[in-house]
Amino acid sequence: MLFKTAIRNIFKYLRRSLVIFICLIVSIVALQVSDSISEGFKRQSKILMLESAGMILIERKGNDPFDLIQEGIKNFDEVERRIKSVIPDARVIPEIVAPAIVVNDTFSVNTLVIGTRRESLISTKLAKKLKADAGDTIVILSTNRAGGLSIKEVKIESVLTNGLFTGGVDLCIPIDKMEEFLLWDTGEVKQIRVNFNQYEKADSLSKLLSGMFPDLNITPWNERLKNLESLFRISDIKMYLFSFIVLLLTSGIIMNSVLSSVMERKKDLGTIRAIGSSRRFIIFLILTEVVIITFFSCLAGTFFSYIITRKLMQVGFHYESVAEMTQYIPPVLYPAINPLRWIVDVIFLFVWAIIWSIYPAVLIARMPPVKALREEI
Amino acid sequence: MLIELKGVKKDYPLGRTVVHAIRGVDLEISEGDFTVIAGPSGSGKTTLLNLMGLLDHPTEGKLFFEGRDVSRISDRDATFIRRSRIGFIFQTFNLIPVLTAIENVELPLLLKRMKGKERRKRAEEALAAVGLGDKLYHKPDELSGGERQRVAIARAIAGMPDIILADEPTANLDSETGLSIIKLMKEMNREQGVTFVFSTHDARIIEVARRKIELLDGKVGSDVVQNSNS
Ligand SMILES: Nc1ncnc2c1ncn2[C@@H]1O[C@H](COP(=O)(O)OP(=O)(O)OP(=O)(O)O)[C@@H](O)[C@H]1O
Ligand SMILES: [Mg+2]
Repeated sequence: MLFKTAIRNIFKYLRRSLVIFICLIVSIVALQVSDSISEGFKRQSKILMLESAGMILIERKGNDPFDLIQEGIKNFDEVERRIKSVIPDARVIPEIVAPAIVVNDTFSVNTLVIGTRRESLISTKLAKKLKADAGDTIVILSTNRAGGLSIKEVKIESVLTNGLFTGGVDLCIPIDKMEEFLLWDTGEVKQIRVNFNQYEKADSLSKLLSGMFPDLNITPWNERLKNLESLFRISDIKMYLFSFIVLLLTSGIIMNSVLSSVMERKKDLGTIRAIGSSRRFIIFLILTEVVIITFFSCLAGTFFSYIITRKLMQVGFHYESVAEMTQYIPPVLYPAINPLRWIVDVIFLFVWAIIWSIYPAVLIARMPPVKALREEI
Repeated sequence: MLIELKGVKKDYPLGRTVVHAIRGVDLEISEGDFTVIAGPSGSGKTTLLNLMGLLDHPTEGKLFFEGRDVSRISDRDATFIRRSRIGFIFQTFNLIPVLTAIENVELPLLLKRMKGKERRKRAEEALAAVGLGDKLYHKPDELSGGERQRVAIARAIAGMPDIILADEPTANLDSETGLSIIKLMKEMNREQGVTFVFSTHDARIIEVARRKIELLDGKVGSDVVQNSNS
């Protein structure tokens, strides 16, 4: 009967119930959709970061990362074959770290050679700084293998758009010229990055590879990038702030609506008190209504969130212009649904709606019945 | 003795002044009484009934319910006594608009934690007793004023209280209907032995009562037994 009464009251004060209903739907949609956007952002930029850092990094054991003349991994092809036999979707990327630091005023950069491309890349920034273009000749100062300083004159053959960083333009110097002036074996693989689809498995896969290659150092990303999670937690703060504002608005609307609904029913509630209801029963009666409305709001809201998120997942947010500035922002952002977070949103909103209805409920329940009854409507 | 008032006073603060609504009333209500509280508007009838119904506390004096001092009773205990021993009938009927007649009558039984089947049976009986056995599923707004007050009487008697307090139960009814409501109450009093205390302005209704307490300016003007035979 409590339930029946609550439902009929919801329909009797339909407009007010609808206000709460719609307000809660908007809140749950706002929370869940913003959650999905931040979740998508996190997942995508995390993958981008991990791809460029290597989900698993392989080096020779005993190498000092600060030693420019490291010993390489000799049998790369064999290593690659064996990695792929364990991780079929692995992308095995050999890296040839140049033992050179290019110096220009205060600006320095590691020349990095991606083995498969057989081209030397210098960053766009450097190119801009040098005001150099294809056909120009630039002078590169570097330390050589023997520890001395070499000075080399290099002619820029062409300016290419780098495939990895879309939109960026890099200067390309033929690899043989690099070899010549750096006295450096470009065929030697110094590091291997292994990327694959499920980055969560990096830990267990690393252990597997460690057993296969006893003379190689195999580190998963989570050992090297310990702070990655906290980095993403910072990006969450913005979302929490947004949620907080949404919830604040919701709380005001809910409290106001419930308050005016109980005030309108003062006489009824006073009568129920007079004929022997406890305060708790009155609170129960009012909260039951709120719980029912909240329940349906959450159902409908989650449904709308799903539709909206699915739509956004097809369209995506286009961030090309921003993404150009840093390699870790995905050019097109696709939201991702994390069911756990959605459930947390629902539970939180439930609790929130009840919390803000408690005050009006308690207020009317504590009102002396004579006072509630005197109300003439 | 069901209810006993000893030197009861009730003041209401009103702005900077104080309204002395009840200025010292000594009164006893025994089981089986059928008492009317008469008096002009503002004489304190509502206030007195609220005190007897444990809806309010006296400012001074003592109020006893079955010999127990309830002048300073807690809300919890007052609720319990109201629920189990007192029935109320209101001037404006005060039925719960979203509930049907039978659900309105069931409500106090629900508060007493009576089980569904028994509750329904009792409510049906109570409605039949007030002559509304055929309107169980009508909502209050589908009933006439007289019928609404009958539902209210059924609601009050269904819980088998020791006393029913009714503040101007006929004021919102035409005088014929009002009279029939009072006659119904009297019938309940005679047949089921329910104690009634009610207030009214209406001279015709005052006549029907067995005992008449006249309230004047918050004091008992007269207290007479007028037709002991009925
Ligand atoms: N809450 C209150 N605050 C201030 N004064 C009050 C309050 N309730 C009642 N009074 C005053 O107490 C006096 C008695 O009021 P009460 O309602 O008991 O009279 P009544 O006999 O029931 O009158 P009526 O026949 O008009 O219903 C009145 O003067 C009224 O103004
Ligand atoms: Mg009155």
